[in-house]
Amino acid sequence: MSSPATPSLSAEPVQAGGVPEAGRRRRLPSKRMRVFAKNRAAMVGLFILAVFVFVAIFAPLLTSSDPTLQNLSSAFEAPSAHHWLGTDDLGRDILARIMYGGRYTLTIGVIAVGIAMCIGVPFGLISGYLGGAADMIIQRITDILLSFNAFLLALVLVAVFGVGLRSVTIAAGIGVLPQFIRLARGQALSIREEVYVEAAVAFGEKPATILRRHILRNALTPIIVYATLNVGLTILVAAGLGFLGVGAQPPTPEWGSMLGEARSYIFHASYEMTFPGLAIFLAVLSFNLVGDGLRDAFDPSLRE
Amino acid sequence: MTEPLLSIKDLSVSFRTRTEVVKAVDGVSFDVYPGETLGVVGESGSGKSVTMLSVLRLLPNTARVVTSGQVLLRGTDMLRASKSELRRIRGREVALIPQDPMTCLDPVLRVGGQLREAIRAHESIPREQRRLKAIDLLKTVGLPQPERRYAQFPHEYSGGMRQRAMIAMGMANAPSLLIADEPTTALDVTIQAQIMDVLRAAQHNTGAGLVLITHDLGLIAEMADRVVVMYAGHVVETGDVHTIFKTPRHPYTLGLLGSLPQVIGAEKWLRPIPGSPPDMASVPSGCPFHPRCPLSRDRELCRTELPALSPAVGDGHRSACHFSDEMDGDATSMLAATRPVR
Repeated sequence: MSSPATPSLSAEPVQAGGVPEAGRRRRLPSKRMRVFAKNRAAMVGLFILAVFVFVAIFAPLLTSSDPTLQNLSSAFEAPSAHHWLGTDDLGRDILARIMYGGRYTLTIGVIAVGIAMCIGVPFGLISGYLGGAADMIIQRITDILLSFNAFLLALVLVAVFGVGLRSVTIAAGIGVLPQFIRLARGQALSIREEVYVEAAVAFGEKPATILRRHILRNALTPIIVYATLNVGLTILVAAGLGFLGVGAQPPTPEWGSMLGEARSYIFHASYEMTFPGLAIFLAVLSFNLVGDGLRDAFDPSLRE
Repeated sequence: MTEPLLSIKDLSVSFRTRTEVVKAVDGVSFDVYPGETLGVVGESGSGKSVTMLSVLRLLPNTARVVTSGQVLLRGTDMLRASKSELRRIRGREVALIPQDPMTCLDPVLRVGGQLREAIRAHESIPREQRRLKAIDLLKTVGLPQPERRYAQFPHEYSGGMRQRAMIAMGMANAPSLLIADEPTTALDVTIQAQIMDVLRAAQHNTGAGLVLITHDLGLIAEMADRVVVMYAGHVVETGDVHTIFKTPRHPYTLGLLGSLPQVIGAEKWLRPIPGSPPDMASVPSGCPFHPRCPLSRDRELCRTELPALSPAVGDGHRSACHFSDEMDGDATSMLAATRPVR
């Protein structure tokens, strides 16, 4: 397993030996990585995640079945040596579909959070740092967004944008956007009071420079931690939309859509629904475990 | 005398809270001339930091601050300057070296980057030149191995080194006025002396005026040319450093001198000033020092009327005490005459 903690651990003695004084102080960031590495739950999460990513990337090498190839003569086959997880109502290999489906589900989750970060963080930082009218306007809009729950908001947005992978991704991103605005604003509010920000003002630096160089940099750790935690949520939102049939369209093997398609056969072929559900569950769990671990290691103050 | 660099005229600063108005600075006036070192002394809460922060307009506007008076910096009224004017002046004309060297550098940026940034705020020169200038600045403030220090993070610096780095940032644009807010409070005595040397050298190189905010009289005696003594938001005494230390004409200044260990006489006990500084939300009427003053002795005038700064012993020496005539002789004899407090 390739955890990011391993290289930093092995690099430790070399560094300490090279420049003794500087090496000792440099240990700070990797010390946190060690806290993270010692967190067993987080390591389990990271392992599951690594497996999912690996399988999604190398799916064509790992399975010879085509995830979209229909074969009605072999529909509803129970798990067997040939089809490990059975086949669905159209005779497609469920394992292959799950393996390929990971590509969609994981990508949607990560990109959606990326969208939320790219929009939410700048607005939140500006809102918190400048205060006044800008803060007022941004926060009232955030209030409105927050009054819907993430899934409901995403559902409304899909209704607006139309059905499809792209709009589901955007919708899931906007669904978690308000939390990012709030988090970034809170960070900006507290970092704004730091002496080094005051000093930067006293040296005549521009607000834009201060925001970018000082506020953003210092806010980044909790934001990244929070983003990891939110990937699980966006996956869930996207899968939910897929389940309702407004997400990825057939024959795309997205896990949520698979769940939705299998819904009608739940009594007849329960495995068709069980395995995609399990995949979603494990993916969300792994992101949450990793996120929790990162949070505990890097920013325990975020713990709710 | 030459034109003052900084001229504070009748400055008042109040903070409005939900329930009360706290007058942190009340009618303060003084000048700073090019090349001189002015020491501003006073207890915590005497308004010395607030005064200097309002020079740079750095008081938090969230606190609902009310300011009046004038702060003229080479003719520009800082209290009425626009945002862009302020940005031009901050760092270029006046630089503030903050109080706490442990927190004034951004922990996530390399020191060199922060220095470059301070330079870039006022001077557009190529990146490589900025780097060389930054390394040069680090060398000027006496950091060994400036090239290596340049690439390090603040957590790799000691407290004294951070303070040096801050001075380097302050000097980056050769400002004509340096304000050092208790630059040595968090440092041990040896480092304090080194930092003061660095400050003195920096000031010498650029001919800048230096305002030294401190409650350390030893530092003042060593560094300052002139002294402003503040108490409860007022200037109570001002004059050149020798006059203030030798023939103080305000009982508060005398009290401060008396509370110093071993500076004057061979006293066995320190002599604290009785009582404690007033709550700034309810400053005593009349002379704010009267409840703690040995001269006041419940005299009516002290309780009812605020004494004005009026000429005392020497040239430019002024004291705000109704009964400063009763203080004659030098500090040693005056302290000897009062009973030691045990």
